[in-house]
Amino acid sequence: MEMMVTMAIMAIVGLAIGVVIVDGQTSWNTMYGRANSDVMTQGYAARKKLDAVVRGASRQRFMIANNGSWIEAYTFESDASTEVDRYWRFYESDGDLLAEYGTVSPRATLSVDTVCENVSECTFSQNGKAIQMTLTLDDGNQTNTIVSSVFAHNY
Amino acid sequence: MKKLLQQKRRGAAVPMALIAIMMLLAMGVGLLSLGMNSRIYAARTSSVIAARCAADAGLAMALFEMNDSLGQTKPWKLDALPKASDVKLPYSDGVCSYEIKGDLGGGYVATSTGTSGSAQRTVSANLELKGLWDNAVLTKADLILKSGTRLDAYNSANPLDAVTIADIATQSVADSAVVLNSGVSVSGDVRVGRGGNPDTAIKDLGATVDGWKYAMPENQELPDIAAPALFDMGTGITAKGATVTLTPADSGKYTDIALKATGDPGILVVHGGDVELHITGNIDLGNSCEIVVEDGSSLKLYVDGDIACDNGSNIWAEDSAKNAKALTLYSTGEGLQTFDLEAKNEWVGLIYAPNADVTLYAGGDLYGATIAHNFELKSGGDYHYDRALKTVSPDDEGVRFVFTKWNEN
Repeated sequence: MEMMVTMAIMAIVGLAIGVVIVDGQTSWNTMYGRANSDVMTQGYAARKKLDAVVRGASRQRFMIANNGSWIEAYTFESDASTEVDRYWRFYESDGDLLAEYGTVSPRATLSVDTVCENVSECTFSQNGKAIQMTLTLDDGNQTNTIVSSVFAHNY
Repeated sequence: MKKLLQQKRRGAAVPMALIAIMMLLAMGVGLLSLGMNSRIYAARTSSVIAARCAADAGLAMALFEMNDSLGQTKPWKLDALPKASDVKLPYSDGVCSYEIKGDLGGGYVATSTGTSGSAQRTVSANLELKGLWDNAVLTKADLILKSGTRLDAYNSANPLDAVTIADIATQSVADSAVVLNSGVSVSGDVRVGRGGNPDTAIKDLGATVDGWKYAMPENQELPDIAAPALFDMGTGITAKGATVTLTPADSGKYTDIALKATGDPGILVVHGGDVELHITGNIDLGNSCEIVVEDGSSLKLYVDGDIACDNGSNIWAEDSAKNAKALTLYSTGEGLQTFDLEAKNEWVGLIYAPNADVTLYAGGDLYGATIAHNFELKSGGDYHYDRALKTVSPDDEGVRFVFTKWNEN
């Protein structure tokens, strides 16, 4: 009888432990996914790229689409540049956020880089000397929306 | 059962419990580790952001000190370049250190290091002087160019400068704030006020714009320019059918300027160098009367009242290189002023009148730049912006240091 009771208790405890372990693992996977999934890391990458470009851009001129679908910021190629001579254009195309880089005059594209994938929505707006990007990434399993504001420092 | 309990064989309960405890321990450690890593990442990220903000603040302080020094002494003299260490920022655990190196000739470079916790960020930027005259025409409100005006640029200090780009702008966002009549041609950008819609703020009646039309990210600050402290002459300047010549020794504060024709026109000639006049009242030019700034001389007019030019009158700077600084008009009065300006032939000059409605009639081309409340180009040829105005000195009116070439690690 005592053996039966002991085994029953052990079974219940074992089952409980199993449930806790499985639930813990599931939670861990979920949390890990939230911290390290593609939509999260791509969101960081997009924010960093916009930061790097706009913080060094001239605040005299930004071009923004009326519907906020793209933005163009102007930068200096080098210390020898006396006027803004390079442009960066951010826009969404086929679910990718692209960064186009080129010369201002004559207008020529030098490169087009994919900043991140899984873009479901991306809008830009301007608030004074700051540019704001609202980016929604969706990989089918997870959605991540980031709002990033960057201040342009160069005259 | 008794037999079973009396067996000498070891049971499995304790090892199983130990295994369960070890598994729970491993799972707990994993969860704690994940949580801790997340907290470490968040703390590190916030420290980096705080450090970068501290570094930005350091550069802002350095820039403020440089700009604060402008205008305090003439000629501008800086006893020591801004430098500070371990400046604690209020309401933050950030600390910054900044320093500016360089000189006026070779340029200044500001470097600032911000620290927050274990994070450290360094930003640097070049500092350049910027003046008031970035645009050919800048208004607070309306800007109207007559039909057929070509707006471009030249460089009175460097004839070899082939850049012809010149911009015009308004700080207004109102509908039709900029009117580009048919045949107007602008070789640069047309900008409207911050937050404005260029499609509605610019009324394009058939103009050609080589650059872009867009809203400015920020409206240029238009500081009040005060007349310098000049000797108060206690009288006005009057010329009735005669010629009056002013030299640098005649610089001073006058009540008004009244030029009248009595058979012959009244003419005011600026001769022999740089003349500064503070006119506390109005300037009236009668029919065919003239203000002439001779080649090699310059005139700065600080006007508290209005300027009125009758038919055939003429305000003329003879400068052979078309140096726009040969004639500068400042509106220094209170309230809205009116500058009705007329030139028989070419107009060469600068107009800084953010509190004045400026109307310009010219018989020939116009050279220089204009800042006004409202501006209308009524007649004349093409408008040429003097790119030499982009080169400024610390003693010029309204200059300030700005960041260029921002760098960060």
